[in-house]
Amino acid sequence: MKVLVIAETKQGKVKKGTLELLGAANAWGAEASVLLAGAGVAGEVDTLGRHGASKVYVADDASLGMYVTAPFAALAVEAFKASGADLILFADSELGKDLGPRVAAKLGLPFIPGAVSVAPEAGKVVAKRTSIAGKVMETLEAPLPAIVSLKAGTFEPKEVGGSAASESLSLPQSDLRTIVREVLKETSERVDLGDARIVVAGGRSVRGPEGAKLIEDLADVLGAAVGASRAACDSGYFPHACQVGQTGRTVAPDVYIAIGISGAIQHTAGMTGSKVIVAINTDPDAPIFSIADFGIVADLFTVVPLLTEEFKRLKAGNTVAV
Amino acid sequence: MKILVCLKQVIDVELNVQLRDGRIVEEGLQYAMNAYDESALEAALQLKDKTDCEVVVLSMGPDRVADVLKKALAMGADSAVHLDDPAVTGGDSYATAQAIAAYANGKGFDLVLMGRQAQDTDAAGTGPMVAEILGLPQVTNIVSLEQESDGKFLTRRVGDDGREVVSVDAPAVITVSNDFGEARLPTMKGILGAKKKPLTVVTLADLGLDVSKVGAAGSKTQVVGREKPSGRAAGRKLTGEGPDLAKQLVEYLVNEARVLA
Ligand SMILES: Cc1cc2nc3c(=O)[nH]c(=O)nc-3n(C[C@H](O)[C@H](O)[C@H](O)COP(=O)(O)OP(=O)(O)OC[C@H]3O[C@@H](n4cnc5c(N)ncnc54)[C@H](O)[C@@H]3O)c2cc1C
Ligand SMILES: Nc1ncnc2c1ncn2[C@@H]1O[C@H](COP(=O)(O)O)[C@@H](O)[C@H]1O
Repeated sequence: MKVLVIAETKQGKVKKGTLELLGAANAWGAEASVLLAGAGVAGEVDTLGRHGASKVYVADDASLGMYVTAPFAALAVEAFKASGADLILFADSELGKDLGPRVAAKLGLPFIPGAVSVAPEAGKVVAKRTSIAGKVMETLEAPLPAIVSLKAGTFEPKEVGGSAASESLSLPQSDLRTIVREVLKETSERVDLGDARIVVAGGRSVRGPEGAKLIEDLADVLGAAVGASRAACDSGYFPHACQVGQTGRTVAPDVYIAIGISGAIQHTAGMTGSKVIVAINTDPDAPIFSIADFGIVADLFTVVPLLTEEFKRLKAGNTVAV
Repeated sequence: MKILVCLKQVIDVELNVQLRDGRIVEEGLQYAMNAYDESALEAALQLKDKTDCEVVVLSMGPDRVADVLKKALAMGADSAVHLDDPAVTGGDSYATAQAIAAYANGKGFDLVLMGRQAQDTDAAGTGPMVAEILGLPQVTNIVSLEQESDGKFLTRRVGDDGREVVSVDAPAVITVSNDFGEARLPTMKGILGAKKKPLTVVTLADLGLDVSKVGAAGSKTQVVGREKPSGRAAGRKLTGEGPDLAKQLVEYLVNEARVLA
């Protein structure tokens, strides 16, 4: 069994989602190769090797600094051919959603998007995924070779201590039909939403910049990423890149703290994979409580600042927890 | 300018979904225009508000999909096409893309606008596949769209690291996020006017597309089972005084769930 992982990077570093894909290959005992495309990324071959890649196809060039479909699709095809993979794995990120189906159509291969469990068998892959905003779990089958994208948190990254051989891919011909003019810097220097171990998310009821600040302060003391509901993003309290849910990102942190979020299915579709869910809401009947491990029925404006203080004290070593 | 907007009729996801023998029970379901496609249509109509532009809407499916086409005409689309063929049902994104591409091919569309995903499949696969089959550039998950003086389209899309400003040459396939903004409502005048607009029914034979390319036969993936997800159980729910609640939560995360190292 041979697996090709399509890597994603941010500021030259491989994202956690990519290491999770290697974790999958590792769990199946498969031989893993990786396509590592970007600008200033070649230094990550070691990291990939340590997480179980035996071969890394590298395309490191300034022209690949921003993701655009055409060159990445061409590189994925080249890496697929060179690796002889049975299965190509993407993260179910915005990049994976843009590139996975394009590459599938290019190669004429089956595409299973957003899988939450995958088992390669002889000659085929069987995967589970949700549809209808998380209301139905489907089991899909496809013959190999196939392409599957995995939701965040489906597999754990694991250091296995190997090392990878690297091979440079030649750069694809440029296709100037699509040009990324700029990436708007809206997200802060906080940890990436997809990589975060803790996510603190705010809803419509933060009501304005002061409320949003309470969410950000709590996130900062926890070293967490900030998430948000669609209503909160639409109201301009948080950038759209923070949105978690069916339209937004899927996250699977250790802790997800939903603050003033009702728990609409379109929101929960993006966070039910979290290990621990905490909800803070004034309405004891809010649907979010039905999936929360720990719920607090309280006004966020009272309880969030207290929580921030509590965590500050904890951090200062002055443990209040008994 | 000529724009094709692909509209899927989806089941209302807010309603209860029942399963029987691994299939969704059709009885009692209600249908609506896919929310993402409504945004795609709104994007097309906004271009039409500004420039001379013909908006054609396409939907594939049984008789009932005429409802979304009529709604689109009432909202302002110029003409509608219903790809009505029993063979198209049950297709995955790949099979769906074959049919849409077969319709769009050679008709001189400057833009093919689609939803970034269908609310029922949550697949987000069809747009990029249509783009590949037609050999066109793609921009996915856009939240704004305008035409520039040189004919290129300027979009903003939500990518993994924030919003990106992306320009694309026509013709192109663009998929639209429902964060594009609320779609307009059909007006009374629009509803009356819609009755005079053309709604054409086409079949696979009209498109010269073999039945083996679409529906379940043309799909590369097969759904072999459906079940209700096991879901998460509710844990504890506390009420009380703020300071005490805050302490209890910290205690839970640190000492019980042990998720804060
Ligand atoms: C196709 C589609 C895709 C969508 N995609 C997404 C998505 O990706 N992500 C997403 O989030 N949504 C998405 N939505 C929208 C979703 O359906 C909900 O409308 C949205 O999640 C609601 O956001 P909210 O919980 O912040 O607001 P509301 O539903 O208005 O909830 C606010 C909550 O705050 C509580 N509250 C009020 N005051 C306080 C206070 N002082 N302290 C504490 N709690 C308080 C209230 O009790 C309530 O539960 C989508 C919808 C559609 C149709
Ligand atoms: N039956 C259909 N008729 C028209 N357009 C469709 C149909 N199915 C899918 N589409 C288009 O493809 C998009 C993505 O669908 P999906 O790949 O299923 O998420 C939708 O938002 C529609 O624009």
